Amino acid sequence: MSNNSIKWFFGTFFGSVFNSIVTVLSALIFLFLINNIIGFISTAEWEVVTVNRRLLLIGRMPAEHEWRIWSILWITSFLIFSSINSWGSPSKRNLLFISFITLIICLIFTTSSTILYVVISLVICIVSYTVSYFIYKSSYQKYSQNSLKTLWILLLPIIFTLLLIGDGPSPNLWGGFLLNIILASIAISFGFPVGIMFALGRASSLPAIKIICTVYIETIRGAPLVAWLLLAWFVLPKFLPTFWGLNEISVVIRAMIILSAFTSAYTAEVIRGGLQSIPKGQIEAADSLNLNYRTKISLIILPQAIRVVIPALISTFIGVFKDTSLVFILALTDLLQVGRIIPEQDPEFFGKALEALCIVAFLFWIVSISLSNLSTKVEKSLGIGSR
Amino acid sequence: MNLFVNKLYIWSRSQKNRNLFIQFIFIIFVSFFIYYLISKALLLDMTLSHFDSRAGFGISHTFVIDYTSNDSRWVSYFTGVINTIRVCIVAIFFATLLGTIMGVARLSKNILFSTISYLYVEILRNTPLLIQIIFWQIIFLKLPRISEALTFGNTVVISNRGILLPSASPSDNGNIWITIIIITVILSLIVSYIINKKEDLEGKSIKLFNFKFNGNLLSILLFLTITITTYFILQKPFNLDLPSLYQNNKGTFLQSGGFEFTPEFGAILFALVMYTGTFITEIVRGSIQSLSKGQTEAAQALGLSDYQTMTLIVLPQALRSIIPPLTNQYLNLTKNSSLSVVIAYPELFMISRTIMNNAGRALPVFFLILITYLLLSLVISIFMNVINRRVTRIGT
Amino acid sequence: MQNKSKKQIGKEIILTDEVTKSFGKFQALRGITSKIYEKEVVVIFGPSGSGKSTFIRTINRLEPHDSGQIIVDGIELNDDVKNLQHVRSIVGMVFQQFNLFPHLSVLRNITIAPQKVKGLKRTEAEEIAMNLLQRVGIPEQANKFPSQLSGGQQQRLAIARALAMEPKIMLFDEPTSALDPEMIKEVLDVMTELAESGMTMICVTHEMGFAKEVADRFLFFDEGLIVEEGTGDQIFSNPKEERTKLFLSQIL
Repeated sequence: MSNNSIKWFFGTFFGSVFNSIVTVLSALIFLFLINNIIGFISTAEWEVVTVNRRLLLIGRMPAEHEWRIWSILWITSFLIFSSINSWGSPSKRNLLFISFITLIICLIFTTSSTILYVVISLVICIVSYTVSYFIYKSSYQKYSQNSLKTLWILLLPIIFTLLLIGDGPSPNLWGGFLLNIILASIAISFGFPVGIMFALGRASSLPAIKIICTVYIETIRGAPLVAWLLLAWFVLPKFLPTFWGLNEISVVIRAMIILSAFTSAYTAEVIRGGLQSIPKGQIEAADSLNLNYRTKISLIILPQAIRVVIPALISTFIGVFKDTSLVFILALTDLLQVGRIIPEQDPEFFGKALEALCIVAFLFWIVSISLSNLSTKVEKSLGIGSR
Repeated sequence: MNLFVNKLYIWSRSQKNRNLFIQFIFIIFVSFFIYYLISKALLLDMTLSHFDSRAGFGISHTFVIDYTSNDSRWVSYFTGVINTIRVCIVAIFFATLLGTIMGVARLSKNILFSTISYLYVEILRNTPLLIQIIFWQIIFLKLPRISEALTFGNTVVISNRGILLPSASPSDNGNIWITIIIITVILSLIVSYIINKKEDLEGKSIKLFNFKFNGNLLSILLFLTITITTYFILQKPFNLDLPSLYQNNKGTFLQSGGFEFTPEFGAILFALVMYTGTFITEIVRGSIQSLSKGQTEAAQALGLSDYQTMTLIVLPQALRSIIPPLTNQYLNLTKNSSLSVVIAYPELFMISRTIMNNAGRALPVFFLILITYLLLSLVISIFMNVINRRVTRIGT
Repeated sequence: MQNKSKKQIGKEIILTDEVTKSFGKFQALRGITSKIYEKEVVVIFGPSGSGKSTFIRTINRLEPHDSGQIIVDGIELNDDVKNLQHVRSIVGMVFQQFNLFPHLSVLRNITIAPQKVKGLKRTEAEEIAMNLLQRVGIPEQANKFPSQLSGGQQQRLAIARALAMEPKIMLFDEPTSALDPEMIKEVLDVMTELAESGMTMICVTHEMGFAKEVADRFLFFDEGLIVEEGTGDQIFSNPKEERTKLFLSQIL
């Protein structure tokens, strides 16, 4: 038995001259990286993170408004953990991953003053997870799925209400990780439907509509996002109508507008690919059944087109989330900016730039990786990608 | 009146007329919108005349152009464009190299190798590019101070001011040698073409000591022989410029000579290469994987060698599906180079921003930026299109 | 062929007059003139590229014709949107590639048009759908999805979907050409039953056995023109044109 494993070992790693070289090189790279990483972690001082936790996560929001954040966190964790179990239980591997992430997030959030809130959040997570598991097994599955879907759609308005109700802090005070998430959510929520419209316009046979939509899409994709954001800073106020005080809208809103437009252009391209992949026969069948344009598009064409490109769509959305870090150019303090500024300006934390950057990177990474795992799960359940 | 309504009704029942009407309404709306935009835009100063005046700011990296702060803003802008092109070309080259290696690694049976590739993609793809740029900047700044700079026996100088690499500037003889190289390249290409054609038509091949020399091999040998011999004949066609570290009379350390690789350039280069490399890895991997196994099986059943299978069957087909998304990544890389504004590498976006901060008039400058990036994208697209057409011709 | 005499052929319901259609330089139809009567079953056959499919697709304007006239049930088929809607509501089509909606269930494939176009309630539409599924022989598949059905079942579903709109005329564009041999019969059986129930049918098909049983009239297409037409007896026993004879000798 061990003879075989030895053979396999040598075959895989040293099977040929080329292979051996590769193995040696890879081993060296591995050792180098691990050495540096361990060295870094052992000498790192994480006070910069622990002390500035609040700043990193929610920016300069005044303390009296913290309850809003906690309520948002509770509602979101309730939704997330209920949804995990409502469409089929996650695999062991995913479950492990989720628990690991939750644990780390709890560690990040916990300070002596917040420990009560963190415990409440954990309780909510566990309770919603178990309750939804039982509901999934019971006959109320359909109800729970439908109500969860509605709640997800309502989530964004709920978050906004919670943030603004009763003389909430002005959007300019929003910052940190919260800002990134809000910007990304708005950009995707508005960019996605607008993107669909432009994709349909570009695929239209009417030349006027097609040309205008193409120009819109290609112009937005032609310049980098920072350039568009800069445009929002300098130029957008001058172009907005002066009534309703619209031309004095805050920078955050301007960022949202630009990000939404940007997302719509990239989404339109992705959906255009989906539209092109639909066999012509579908349209012919719909035509011969005399379905009108609205029904044809909404019930026959779009569902098929979007289903095909879901992986690319989610990849685009992950890109949008990463791109929210670019709002530094509008002097907004998002997570990355906070992570950069603290080591530079607070003398206590000079030279701790790497630690701060690590946490920032980690937070971004978690969200992106979770979304792409979600994408894989959706792909599998819809059977795309497997032929 | 009735007659008119009747006529209108009949007119509206034609599909062609309906199409025209819809487009008409659409154009009206868009025209209103554009009219509104233009009327607001005319209130601003839309000229680029301020570009003719003195720039008044320094640029830390100048290449090809000798720029001083007394030059016009146009010159400063072009310096920025050159910096952009510089970083983009180098980054595209290395990113493609890295991506291809990692893509093949991902499919390798060597677990060590494929794991590195897997971790590389999963970690770096999901981290924003901005974070990676700042990361590399921090790393570069952690290099030893100039007074303790690393020099490997007077060949390089590594410090947190940058890396100085030995460079060479051609002397007169050097220029001759470069001309010879160019001629030899053309000669080798012709030779290889002729020999390959001959082999194809007549089935003969040049054999020496029982070893088949195919056309490509021969022309490479030819190229190497000529270039190396002429190098020695010409005696020192290049002046080596070794970087050196010295202290001036005040005791400050200075470095000079060689080719300067600043922290800024290094940061943006490394970040772009590593980040875009992850996407290229996925493209290459997906492309090779999507090639059905039957292709390699059929090739091997026909008796083609591994090398032949790779070059004649696998790669041409994989290339076909690699090139369009690859082009997309190149375009993304070009636009992402604008992020060097965060570490003050003066490429075109950062310089435009400085100009905007100095002299206002953001809208015309923005149009300039837009057009520049569109032009850059166009050049890359056309170039890749030519390659694409060559690759999909497959008629050898 | 005796049972044909029992059927009453009705009045003229489709008239085509010198209809032409080109695709770029290629002329698919060079002037088709013909009349189709109610309750008639017409089979169109001929070599590939002769314009058979193009012709029946001009009847519900999936291909707009270039010149000539097409009049269906008294309505002229042209650029007029209302005319087109009317014609499409009385003409149903069955495709060679089925063109079922893969993301909708079997039942929903049938009910979507009656609900969205005719405005029927869901219960009404589903009742009609179940009756049709019964008629074509697959009532038990109602809640499955098209991809779970066999080829023959899918095409029968496609027929049911077209019938749900209660058309006066049914067009069949090579309905069995994409099916495995053992499934052809089940689809032909449904078409036979349809014919016997008095539906006006125009079929492009290669299934000559079925055609001889069911068709009232044959149209032989070649190179964009109707070369010969007649009843089964006339065409098969006494073909007049050389090309007809040639083609028949190749397929029979």
